[in-house]
Amino acid sequence: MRDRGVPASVLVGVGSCLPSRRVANEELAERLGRSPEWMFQRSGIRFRHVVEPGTTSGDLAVAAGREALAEAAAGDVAAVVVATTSPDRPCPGTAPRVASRLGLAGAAALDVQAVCAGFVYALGVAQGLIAAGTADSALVIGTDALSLSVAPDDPTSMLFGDGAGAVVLRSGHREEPGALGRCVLDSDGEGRDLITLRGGGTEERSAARAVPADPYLRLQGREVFRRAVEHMASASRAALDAAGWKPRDVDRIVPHQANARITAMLAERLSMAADRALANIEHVGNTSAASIPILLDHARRAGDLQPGHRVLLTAFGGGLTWGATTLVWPHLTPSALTHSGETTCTTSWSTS
Amino acid sequence: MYDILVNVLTGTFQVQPELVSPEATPAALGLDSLFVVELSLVLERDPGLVIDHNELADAATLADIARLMQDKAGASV
Repeated sequence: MRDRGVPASVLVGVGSCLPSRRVANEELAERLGRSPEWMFQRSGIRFRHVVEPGTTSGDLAVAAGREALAEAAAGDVAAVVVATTSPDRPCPGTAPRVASRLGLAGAAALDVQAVCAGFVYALGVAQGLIAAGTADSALVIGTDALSLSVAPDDPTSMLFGDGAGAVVLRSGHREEPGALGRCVLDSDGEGRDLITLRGGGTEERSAARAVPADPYLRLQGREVFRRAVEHMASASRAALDAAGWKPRDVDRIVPHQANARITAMLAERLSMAADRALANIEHVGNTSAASIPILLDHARRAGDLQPGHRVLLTAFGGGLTWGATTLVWPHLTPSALTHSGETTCTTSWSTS
Repeated sequence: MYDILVNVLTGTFQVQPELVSPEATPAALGLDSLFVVELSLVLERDPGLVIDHNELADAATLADIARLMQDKAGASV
């Protein structure tokens, strides 16, 4: 990526979609046997948005993607990369159908499955396609509807909200505002049991005894917490080194929204002021692969992300997977596009 | 080590000083099960003690945690 002859990937559009149904902690309290305040203290979450019956992660992806394309004024893109852990179907991937519904005939389209780190991984994949000259532009979407994958009586269910976020990347120069730095990506498959959904895969289908596997997403909170902080910190340092930045140079951290307490510890680890870490988890929960692009969209609309800000993105998820990258925030004009299509979305988390 | 622990609790974790005593349990201070992970991460950074959060979870009282910190500090000398 340091080679000046290699095209950089420049961010030129952002969009997001939250399903309109909003669930407060109070609505979950009786089912989970926990108080609303306990949930907030535990996670920093007061609300999450969840899909209504009939709405899929693909629907959310289309709405977010349409918004990002409108802002980028990109009638066409050459590739669509969808990061999701909750695809419309196990087969085929969600991305081809999303591309078709967006009128992107002929685009390369593929899914990336890296759970909550999926968006940073998808950025890396798209960056590679552009650097190689395979594509001159890409729509990168993170979408998940994990409210459909958690056990209703498991306290873990309070963490997850549904949503989608998207960015458009186009080929450009690495000195331009919006140009992505190196995507630092890493993994540790030995930790796969820490965040897992065992049912539905070949492990279950090939098992000698026909015992159904657990159909719900499970996570081991304390160990996930520790590894999330350590790995996001290490990936962040590597991404900053690649950009030639020191932690003090960073104006905004946009971390995966897993838990407000993880974000606080991450900022402490990186010796960054906590108020430089952007957050919307209180209002949207953990939206998995969608969390970073949703936060980017909300923060720039709220004015918390300004042109010229040096921005660090970092995420950690099941796999285990983690990653980070950097960019200087570009001048963008949020799309006034209203969602008149098939999915009812909100692009803000205001209580109105 | 107990004094260091008290400083961490009343500083980073904003525990009310009047609640702190050697016999107090983390739960009595309003600290939940994620606290041991946070404490592990904080102690690793300063004063540089590496203590697994599962070991901290087994320590019932603040005196037990301080003892664990002392043991780790001694082991690393």
